[in-house]
Amino acid sequence: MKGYFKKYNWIFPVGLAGLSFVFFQFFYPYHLFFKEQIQLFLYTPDYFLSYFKKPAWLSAYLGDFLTQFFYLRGGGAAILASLFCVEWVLTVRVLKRITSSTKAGLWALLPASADWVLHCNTLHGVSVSVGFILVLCMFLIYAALSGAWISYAILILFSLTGYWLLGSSFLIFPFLILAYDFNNQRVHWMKWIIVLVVTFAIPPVLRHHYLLTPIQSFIFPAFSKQSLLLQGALLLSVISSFFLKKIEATYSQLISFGIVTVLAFVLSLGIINKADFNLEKVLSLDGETYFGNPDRVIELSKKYDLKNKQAAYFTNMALTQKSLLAENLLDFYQPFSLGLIPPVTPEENWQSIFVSNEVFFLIGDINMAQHSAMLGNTFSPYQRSSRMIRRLAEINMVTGDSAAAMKYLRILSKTLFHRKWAESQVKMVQSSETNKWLAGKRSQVSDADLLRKSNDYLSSLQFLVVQHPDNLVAVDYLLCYLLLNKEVKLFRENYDRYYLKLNRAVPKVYAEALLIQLVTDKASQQEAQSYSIHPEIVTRFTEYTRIFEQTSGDMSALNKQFSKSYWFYYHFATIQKK
Amino acid sequence: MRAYLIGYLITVVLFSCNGPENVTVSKGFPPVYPDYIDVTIPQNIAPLNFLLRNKPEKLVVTIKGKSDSITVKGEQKIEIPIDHWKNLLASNLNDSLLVRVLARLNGEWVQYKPFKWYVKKDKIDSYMSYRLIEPGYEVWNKLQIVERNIESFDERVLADNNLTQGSCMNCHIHGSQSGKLSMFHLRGEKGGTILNKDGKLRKINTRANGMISNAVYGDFHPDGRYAVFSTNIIIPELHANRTDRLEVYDTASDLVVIDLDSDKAITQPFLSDTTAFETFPVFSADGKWIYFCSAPKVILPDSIKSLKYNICRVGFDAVKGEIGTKVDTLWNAKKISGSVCHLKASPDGKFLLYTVADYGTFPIWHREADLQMMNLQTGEIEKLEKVNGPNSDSYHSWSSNSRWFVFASKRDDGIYGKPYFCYIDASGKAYKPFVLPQRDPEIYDYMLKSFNIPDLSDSPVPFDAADVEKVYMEQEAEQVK
Repeated sequence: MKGYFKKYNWIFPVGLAGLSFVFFQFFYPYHLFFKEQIQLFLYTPDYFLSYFKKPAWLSAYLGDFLTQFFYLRGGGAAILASLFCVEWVLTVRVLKRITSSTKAGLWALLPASADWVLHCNTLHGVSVSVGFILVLCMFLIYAALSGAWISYAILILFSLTGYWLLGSSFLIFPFLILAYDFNNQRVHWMKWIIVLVVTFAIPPVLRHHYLLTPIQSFIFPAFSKQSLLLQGALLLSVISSFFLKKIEATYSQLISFGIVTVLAFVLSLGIINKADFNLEKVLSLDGETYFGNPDRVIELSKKYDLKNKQAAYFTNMALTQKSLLAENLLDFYQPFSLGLIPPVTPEENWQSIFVSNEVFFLIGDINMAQHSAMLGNTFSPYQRSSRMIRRLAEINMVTGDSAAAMKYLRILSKTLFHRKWAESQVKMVQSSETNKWLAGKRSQVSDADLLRKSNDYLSSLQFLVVQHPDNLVAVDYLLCYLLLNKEVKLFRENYDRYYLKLNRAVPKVYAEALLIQLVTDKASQQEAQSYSIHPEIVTRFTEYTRIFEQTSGDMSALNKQFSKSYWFYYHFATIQKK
Repeated sequence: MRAYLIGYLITVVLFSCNGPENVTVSKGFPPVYPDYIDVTIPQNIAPLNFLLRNKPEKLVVTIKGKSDSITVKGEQKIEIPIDHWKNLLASNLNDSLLVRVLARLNGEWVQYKPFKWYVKKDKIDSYMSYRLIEPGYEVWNKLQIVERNIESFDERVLADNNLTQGSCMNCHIHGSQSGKLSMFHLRGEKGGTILNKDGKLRKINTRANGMISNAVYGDFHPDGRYAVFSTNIIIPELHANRTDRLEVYDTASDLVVIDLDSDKAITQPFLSDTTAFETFPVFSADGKWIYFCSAPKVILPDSIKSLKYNICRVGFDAVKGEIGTKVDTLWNAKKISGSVCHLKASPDGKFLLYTVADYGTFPIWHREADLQMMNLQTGEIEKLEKVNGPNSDSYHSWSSNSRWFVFASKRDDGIYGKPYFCYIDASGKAYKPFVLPQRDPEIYDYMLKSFNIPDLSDSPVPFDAADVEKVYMEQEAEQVK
């Protein structure tokens, strides 16, 4: 075992990079796609200059530059794995400079692992990782200087510009200097005090210039205090390696084994605690919706069987795109109508608001789609989202607002990965051509008007259907909206008014609901027969009614046979208030 | 050798002095953005930097005055040196500048039809405040009130809602176009109307007993002691058709004058009854009148298209602090067919500038909303056809000399409002407006915020975002009684 860890030092970065790549590529990819969608990286001078309005312009700009590659499958995982690798390499050098520990390779895994865990959060930006790498570089430059005057000059330069360049990532710098000097028995109280005071005084002094709150000034460019864990992990590595250095030679293997065990434990615990695999599943449904793969959404939804309104939301849209909503609605969890059209209110989190435009765009409520997309962009963390800009361009192409569409397309034409799409759309706008998709979307839009509150979905759906009775998507959404809210009487009225005219076979869920209302209305046999409900469904309804009456409405007696039926939903579905 | 070198240099210089050969002459104006073709500008405006939409490889722009000129080169866009620009304007007052644009497109040079910039000796007030907000119709996230020096490109943030717990902030207006007197509303838990008098900031809770809301739209009396406000219950709703986006209407609205020295509310029963909506009040230049918009109450939203506001006025006695009892109607919505909002009286007392839409009280999403101007001495109405664009034109503000006004226009894309400046000569004739110049003209293409409620002032306000944060977080609000 002796020398094993030293001999195979290369295993650490390679293992770290490999494992993290596998994790992000195969277990957490949709978080990374989402990170790209909530930002917008433009190749314009004005965009570059906008970074100077806040601290950390360098790390934020480089971080956002790298984040744009998250658009590519595998791009995000590759970039993060590379960043962790660089973090490890630099941390090893820093630890060797400060503590000369022979276990630097192991201790250096701690910050990179912390960053890995932190990147499980959608709001932990690449800019934090870049800032961390750059502050390590700054320290190494300082440590490499031998001349007293030049090192003082560099120290002052870094102290004064560090926050401007790297934001909160720079706050670790004075501690590294202190540890380095202390270990080299160079006691410079005055220097330490000056560096510490300058570094920690700059954020509050400049916070009004940068229009940041006191807390924001100490964590920027991060959104959360949690991101400081990365620097905390480095400090822990420095302190631990410093104190354990004296016994390294004696207990080398034991220490190595201990570090690896603790790291594996901490990393596993961190991922279990911080990685939101439920959200990853929801984001996978969202991502596949964005990429236009409804089959994949349905497949994933079946696999995950999630019981939340976000999953229901994407599943229902996918079912609609495949004309399966009325057939398979109750094969999936349905939290009343919240899974059809989720509320867009201040109480909702920004991620729900962000994706809320999808359904309005799908059903043809273009004005609501625009409203929601604007809100999605406004409430996204950076207030400039490539996905929302793309949607806004599409919306304005549909409404024929070519000037507005051109504005958004011009923006996208300054990106790396949306440029090609934008240029093709610009050609379409300029030539006034329409393709099948655009013609289809335009046919859904109404010239008639209705004033409605933004959360009055029933009025909106009824309006859409009245204006375009052939808009099957809107008809299905209206009928399912009524069914999920148990408005069966209204359902039958609307079914008779709109769906019957479409001359389509009666889908399973509608047939089941119609049977309820036909019984309630004491409809004649002739009237019931006019709906052409499949005899098998009628037989099942008779059976359901028999068991229901026999057991006085015992849910467990019906659950096995009828849990996916509308009758079961009608009788037993309740909203659970938190 | 030396002679050869000198000869070579002379040749290079000569060649570089010659213009490009084989120039095609175009009969059309260049596709400049922003639209600065034949606009009228004040002598103290920042350089009118622009770009060409057809993406030339090279651009040579010559701006020629009576005796001097500037030549600026660029790729797709130009940035005019500010010192040369100022000198050029100063030496061509009440005259015009000829702008020649030469562009290289696909390797070929094109000389476009030249256009003019008419330089007026009348200055525009040097500062303008506006709110930067995403046009997300209903709600907000990040808001700023910004002050821009329009003689240069300098701007500073007067208030940022990141420092005030994300609260909404709106309607920053100046008293008598002076930075020494201004106010805006800061909503939220610790909010109030922030009043700036000579740099001393006060926070006022403007909602007295019996008022339906806090103060909303307002204006200062010329003596600075009083301010008139509307109080509104505001309802936003969305349209469902292809062309319209948002409608905002009031289900109740009243008027109130607040004595800012004593925090006392002054009103009249007929200005706060339930039979009519009153809103957008302003004082006349002499302070003896309150102009406001008024509409008979209708059932909303069903009868929204019948909601049409008149221009009315009522007397005001600043000495007694009393509102008059007789209301005159100056613009009858029924007769003229339209609905008026955003009244602004010119400081010289001659004109009343306002926005007319087909109906309602929120023109910023009404494509048909246009500015109009009433001559208060003759009652004549100028439709400002040269000024108005194809989309909403609204939220205007006068310069202190009454020769210029600024307004927010969505003419570019129908969504994002931008400040446009317009010259009015002594006879009331309006000239083609131009958008606020930017150092980089491309900024408008990539900006995702609207310039909301631009308001001119002759001096900067003596506070900044840090002062506003302090007032918001630490100062108790004075209560209007």
